[in-house]
This record gives sequence, structure tokens and C-alpha cells, in this order.
Amino acid sequence: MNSLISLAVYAVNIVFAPLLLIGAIRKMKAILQGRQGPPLWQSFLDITKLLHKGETVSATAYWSFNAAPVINISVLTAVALMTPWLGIRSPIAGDLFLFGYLLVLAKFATSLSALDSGSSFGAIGASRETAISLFSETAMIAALAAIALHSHSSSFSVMFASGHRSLYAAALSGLVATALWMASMADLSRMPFDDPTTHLELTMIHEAQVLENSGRNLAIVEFATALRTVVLIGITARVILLMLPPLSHIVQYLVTIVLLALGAATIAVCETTLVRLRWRRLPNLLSFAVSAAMVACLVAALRG
Amino acid sequence: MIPFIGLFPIPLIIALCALLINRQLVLARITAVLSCLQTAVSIWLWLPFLRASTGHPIVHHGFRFDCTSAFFVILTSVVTAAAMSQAVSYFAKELESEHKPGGRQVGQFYFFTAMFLLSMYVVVTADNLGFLWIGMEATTLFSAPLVYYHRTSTSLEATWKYLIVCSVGIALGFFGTALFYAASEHDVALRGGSLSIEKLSEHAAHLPIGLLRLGYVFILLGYGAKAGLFPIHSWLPDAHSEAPAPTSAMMSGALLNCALVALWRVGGIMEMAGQRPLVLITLLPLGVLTVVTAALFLIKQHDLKRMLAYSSMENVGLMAVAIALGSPAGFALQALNHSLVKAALFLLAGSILQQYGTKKLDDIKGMLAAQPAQALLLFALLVAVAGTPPFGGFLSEWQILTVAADQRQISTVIAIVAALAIAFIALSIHAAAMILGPLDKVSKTLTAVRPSATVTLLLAASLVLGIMLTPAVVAAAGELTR
Amino acid sequence: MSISLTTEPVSALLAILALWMIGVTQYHTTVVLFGIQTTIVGALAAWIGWEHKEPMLIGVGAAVILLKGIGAPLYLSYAARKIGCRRERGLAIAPPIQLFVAGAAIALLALSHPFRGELPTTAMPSIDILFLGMLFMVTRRLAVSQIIGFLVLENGIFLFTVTLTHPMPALIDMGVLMDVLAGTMLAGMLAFRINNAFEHIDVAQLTELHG
Repeated sequence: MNSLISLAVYAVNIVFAPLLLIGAIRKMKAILQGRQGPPLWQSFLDITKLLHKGETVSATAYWSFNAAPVINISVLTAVALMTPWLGIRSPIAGDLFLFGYLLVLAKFATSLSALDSGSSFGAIGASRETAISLFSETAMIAALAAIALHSHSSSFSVMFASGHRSLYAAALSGLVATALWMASMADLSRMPFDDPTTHLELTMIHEAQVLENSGRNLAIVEFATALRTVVLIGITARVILLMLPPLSHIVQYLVTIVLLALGAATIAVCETTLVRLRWRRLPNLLSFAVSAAMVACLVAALRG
Repeated sequence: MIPFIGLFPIPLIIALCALLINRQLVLARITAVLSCLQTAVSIWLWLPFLRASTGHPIVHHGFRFDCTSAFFVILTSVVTAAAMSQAVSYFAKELESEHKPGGRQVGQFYFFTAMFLLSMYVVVTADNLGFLWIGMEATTLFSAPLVYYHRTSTSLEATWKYLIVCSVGIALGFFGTALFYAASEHDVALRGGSLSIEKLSEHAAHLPIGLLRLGYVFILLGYGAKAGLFPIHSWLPDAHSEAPAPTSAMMSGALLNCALVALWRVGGIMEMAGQRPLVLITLLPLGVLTVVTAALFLIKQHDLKRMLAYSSMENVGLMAVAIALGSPAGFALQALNHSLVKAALFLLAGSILQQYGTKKLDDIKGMLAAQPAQALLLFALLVAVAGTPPFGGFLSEWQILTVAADQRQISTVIAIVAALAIAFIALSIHAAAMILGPLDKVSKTLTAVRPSATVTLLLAASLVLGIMLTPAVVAAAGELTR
Repeated sequence: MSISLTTEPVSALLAILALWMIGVTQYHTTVVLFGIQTTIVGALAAWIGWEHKEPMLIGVGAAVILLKGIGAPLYLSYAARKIGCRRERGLAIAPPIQLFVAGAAIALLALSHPFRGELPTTAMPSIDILFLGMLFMVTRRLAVSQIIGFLVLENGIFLFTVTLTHPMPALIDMGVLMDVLAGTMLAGMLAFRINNAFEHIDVAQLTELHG
């Protein structure tokens, strides 16, 4: 597939897909809860509104506070351009470890800004987010490493080259997708790990970190979070695509869109029906993700 | 097939009576009579097999009719008859005491005892490993309610441990059985796998060794748990001490033998496959450890029936050593002597418990002054179970040690001798503490009791065995087929 | 589809279900997982009976599904509801750690695969389920959890016996099933009595008999 076409497709999707996905989640949640809910493009209007507002920055903040949203968005755009989250080949050839490290870099910048703003809620959020990432990062990297071990390369273009070649590969992909989904939910601070709509700061994990942002910074952070969501769900969808036989590019793209919508629906259902787990019980749930990923890794490593 | 079917009517009649008859003492007396009849029936049906020592055993519909089956069927019947005879006076006393058994309790006791007896028969006569397993699990299931007879919290705890540990053990044994079956599928002559011990022994040399060895280890763990081998013995002291006296007598005297017979039979298959070294390496250390552990536990005991349970464990260890060394005479004689004496001991302990109102050794004192006959009986029995001449236990232990020395198992001999010495000292000290000494407040109130006929008979049998066991008899016992 | 092509993935699925149970602390979830696992094993047995043209094996499979896959979970969750126990507490080794270690051990075991050629390929998942059942029994403190662990252990053995080249005689399997169910009923009744006597079913506190 031509690099330029792929770049064009990716660019368009990077601009529109994240906020549409967030809008879709909100709409589905509203329907499930019996309300009408905001229209699908509400997030675009929110971002535009925020861009016009002024900023209030804490007096104790240093330059890292303003740098964090910028680092966040640029890193995530790079990740979005290098992972095949749309089901077709990405314009830049990505690598598993680059993927992992870039995601962590973005998270690190956010945590730093949260600590920098001097509010204790930010500090709580940062520490909790880091604690969770201990498990979710492990699960994510290990899960993708299983596929890398199976295809004998850590480059995304080789890992996701074609569909399933055997029942064993399909089963492995299924296990990896399960681990990846659970890890993504933890990474994105979705239910049941964290309630994104909570207003109680003491229970927040991700929201507490971006509490101090306002105006343009907040717009950038919101967009970056939405982009992260769509990339992680997209890569899970790509792994699920590995379970199917190889298809043409357009069909794969369309199937990915369907899977993204399905992912949004699942998130909406989870947020409506589940309650947030107690902090002490989170490792128990995440250990399923880590175990599944580790088992997949071991099996892929030793069986080839 | 007739000898096997012929064992069934009387226990089934007992079970039926237990369900129908409400008057407890009547039921007890009927059962006592019927169980003595059952002994006579089993001797009449099985004696021919006991005498036909050489040649192929008859295998019919999954059951074996050979020397070992005959021996243990008769032994089980004798132990049960003794237990049931004594149970009459046991329940008579229970009904007079303050913790009277409730309405259906005695009926349930006899029902489960009858089914327990039947399942033990199935275990010792089974040729099909599957039937063996079903019988073994059935013995666990039918004896658990018996252990729970007294309905106290301690007996509940004992029953739970017994049920869980033995069921898990036996499940592992079943996996071993399945592995033996899987091994047998590789032999064309067996046409699709066989669970028959006879067929497996015949073709043992052609079966894949790896599967047999793995299966043997699982079976050893499984049926070893049921026998009370170290380290899966934790249920034994609890279950044997919490059960009522007749049940303890049956469990120690008959049930442990069943598990060991299973190990004996499977050991026979392994021997035909040329795997004697494996059996020696696995079973012998376990047996020795069982004997040593039991002897050490005997030193610091505070409970009469628990002490007897540990002595059972010691004898089980000795029998396991005999099986590992491949000595039929040692195994059979030790089983015979242990069953007789241990059954007598538990029955006597039961009546002591009823008289003194307590199982604690510290609270039983001055028996010689209050009840001389009973005291002498107790002392003689404890000394017999420790393996003192002139009782039978001495000769069977001597036989086992001789075989061990012949096979150059010197460390085994040293360990067992040391353990037996420790056990003898421990039992004697406990016996002396109970028997000698001045009367204390409980024993003052007790009158001299006429010792139970059953117990005396069993002790006399052991004495007779000890005196009459000439080398010829020992050799005859050695003729026991696998 | 030939037998080996179905039994391998199904056995792997059963082993994963057993591994899943290790990490779960809610009692009700373990009962549901056990029910699913037993139903799948029973269906597999019935299907193998159909392929081998052995009506008794189909009967055994059906009995396993009905009695052990539906009946036993219903009985055990009724018991748990009556007793009022919901979650496992106070496990010595936390479920996440058990999950990692068990998962790693099983993956490594599966890849070393002893007795190639002598045993069917379902031997490894069966042994896995057996040991996972035992791990479940040993590490849990609720009496009813120990019953579930025992039943999972038996599932593993049953899986092994039906997937051999010539499945074990169905008569034996039936006898085993009856014995196991009788044991479950007995253990359930004992659990009720333990609850009545001690006001809890924590077997770690049953330590009166010792020495």
C-alpha cells in the first residue's frame, strides 16, 4: 500500500476519529441511561470552546507544567502515526519497544505536570497512575511481545503482516487481545479501574492529574487522551484482526471501524453497569491481564 | 463368583434391620449374632482358596479368588464380628449415660457399618482396578458418618479432615489407575486397554515403562494416603480417636489392611514389569518414616485413643516396609497380629472411656487397684501391640527385620529397631501411668468389671499365634500369592 | 471433525478455565466457572461416545452435564447462600501471585511435554487441571471452596480417561461419578454442620485436634 495514501488516511483519522469515538461513548452511555445525550460531535465543540478561553496557571508551576500537554500531544501523534491502529499499514514503520516507551513518556509528562502544579490531588493522581501502570504497562508490552516472539520480529509491519496462519496463532492472538483490552482499560482509567465522570477528587486517578489544566492546555490534554483511547482500542482491534484470515486493505479498515465502534459500545456498557473497584482490589483484576500476557509470551517464546 | 456373592446377604440384612428396627438394643444384639454368622459363612466360602496356594488365581468378572483375597476377607469378617459383639455392651452403656444417642443415630450407625463392611470386601477381592477404586472411595464415604457419630465439634473437625484428605488421595490414586490403563493400551494383546490386575501382571514386561512408573507413583500417594503413610497421615490420629470404639476397631483392624492390600497388588504388577528398584526406593523410605514418626509421636501423648491410633500408624509403616521388601509372610502375619490386637485394644479403650468418662491419659489412674483384671488385660494388649514376645507381633516383626537384613537394607533395620524400642518404652510408660499408682477420685468409685469376652479372646488368639508360629506356618504364610 | 482436532483446543480451554479460577476470590464466580468447565467436559465425553459408537459413554457425558455440571453448582451455591459466605479472605498467598506462578508453571510444563507418543496430547491439560484443582484446595480457607477444588481435580482426571485412544470403560466412569457426587453431598452436609457448630466455615481455624 502506498505510503502517501496511508499517510492521508491516517492524518484524516487522527483529526476526526478520537473525538468522534469519545462522542460515541457518551452518546451510547446516554442512551443506555435513558437520556438523549449530547450529539456525536459535541467534543469538537467543547475543544473549540476551550481554545478560546484564558488560562489559569498555578503560581508554583514551572515550565514543565506548560510543556506537558505539548509533549503529550506530540508523542501521541507520533505513536498514532506509527502503529497500525486502523487495520492498514501505518505510514511510519513502528517498533514494539518504541511504542511502549513513547506511551510511558506521555504518561510521565502528565504525572510530572500533576506534581508540578503543587496540588495534593494531582500528587495522589500521579502516584496512583504510576502504580497502575506498573501492571498495565507490563501486560501491554508482554502481550504485544508474545506476538513479536511468534513472528520473530519486533517491528509492527512484520508482526501484523497478515492474518492467522494456524489455529494456534489465532488462539494466541485471542489471548493477547484479552490481555491488551484489560491493560488498555487500566491505562485509560476507564471502568472498573477509575470512573472518568467522577467529581470526587479523592477517587480520581487520571482526572486528578489534569485537574489544574485550563483553557488551551485543557483542550490539548483532552484531545491527547481521546487520541490515546482510540490508538489503544485500535491496536486491540488489530490483534483481533490477526485471528481472521488475511483480507484486503479496505475490508480490514472497515472491520477496524466496526471493532472501534464495538469497543466504544463495550466501554459504554461497562461504565453504565460496573462500579469502580476498590483501590486494593485493582491488582487482583490486573493480574489476570498480566498472567494472560505472560502465559502468551512463554508459550510463544518456547513454542515459536 | 459364588464366594463373593455369598458375602453379601448378611450385611444387607443388617442394613435392612438398621432401617426398620427402632429398638436400639435389639438391633445391636441382632447385628452381633449376624456378624458372627458372617464370619462363619466367610470362612466356609473362602477357606478352599486359602489352602490352594499355588497356581493361577481364579479371576471372574473383575474379582479375584486367591489366597490374599481369602485371607483378608476372613480377617475383616473376624474383626467386624469382634467389634459388633462388643458394640452391644458399648451401646447398652451409652443408652444409660447422659449423652444418650438420639432416635435414629444407632440405626444409622449400623446401616453405615454394614455398607462399610461390604465396600471393604469389594476392595480386597477386586481384580479390576476400577472396582478397587470404587470400593476404596465407598469405604471413605461410608466411614465418614461413622466417625461423626458423636456429633461433637472435634469429631466434626476429624470427619472433615478425613473426608477431604482421603478423597483427594484416592482421586490421585485414580489418576494412577488411568495411567496404568493408558499404558495397557499400547499392548496389542490387551485389545484396547485393560484394568485387570491379572492381565496387567501377565503383560507387564511389554508395557511402556515410563507410564507404569508415573502411574505407580500416583497410586502410591493415593492409596498410601488411605493407609496412613507419612506424610499424608494427618487424618489418621484424628479420625481413629474421634470415632466410637467399634468403628475405630474396624478402621484400624480392617480398613488399613484394605489400603495396604491395594498397594500390595499394584506392587505385584510393578514387580512383574521388573520395577522392583522403584518400589524399593519409594515405598521403603515412606514406610520407615511412618514407623519413626509414629514412634516419636507416641512419646508425648495425652489421649488414650490417639495413642492407639499412632500405634496403628506404626504397624502400617511396618506392613508397608514388608510390601516394599516383597515379603508376603511379613505382610500377612503383621496384618493378622495387628488386626487382632488393635481391635481388642480399641474395644477395651471404648469401655474404659465409658467407665472413666474421659479419654485423657492424665485422668485415668490406679486401674490395678480398682479393676485388676481389666488392668492386666490392658497391659498385656499394649505390650502385645508393641511387639513383645510371646505374642504374635514379635514374630511378624522379626520376620520383616530378617527379610530387610537379607536384602542388605541395614539403615532400614537400624531405624526400625530404634523406632520399635522408642514405641515400646512410650507405650509402657503410658500403660504404667494408667495402671499403677494409688486410686484417685474417679477410680475409687469404680467396681471391678468382668473383662469383655471378646477382648480376652482376641488377646488369647495373639498369644496362641505367638507360640504356635513355627517356621512351617511362616513358610505357609509366605505362599500367599500376589 | 476428527477427535484429536477438537479435544486439543477444548482441553486447553478447560485448563484456562481452571487457571482463571485460581485468581478469583468471589465464591459465586468460582462456582459458575466450575459449572461451565464441567458442562464442557461432559459435552466432550458425550461427543467422544458418539464418535466411538458407545452409548454408555454418551450416557456418562449426559450424567456429568446434568448432575455435576448443573446439579452440583446449584447445590453448592445454595449451600453458600445459606451459610452466607461470599468471598475468600485471608489467603496466605495473594491470588495474583498464585495466578502468575501457576500460569508460568503450567506454560513451562506444557512445553516440556514428557512421554511424547505414549500419552495422548490431552494428558498435559488433564495434569494441569488436576494440579490446579489441588492448588485451589490447598490455598483456600472456605470449606465449600475445598469441595469445588476436589471437583475440579476430578474433572481433570475424567478428561484424561475419556480422551485416551480407547476411552476407559464407561461403567467405571459412572461409578466414579456416583462416588464423587455422594462425596460432594456428604461434604456439603458437613459444611452446614461446621457452620452451625463454629459460626464460620474457615478450615484454617479447625485446629483443636493436634499433636
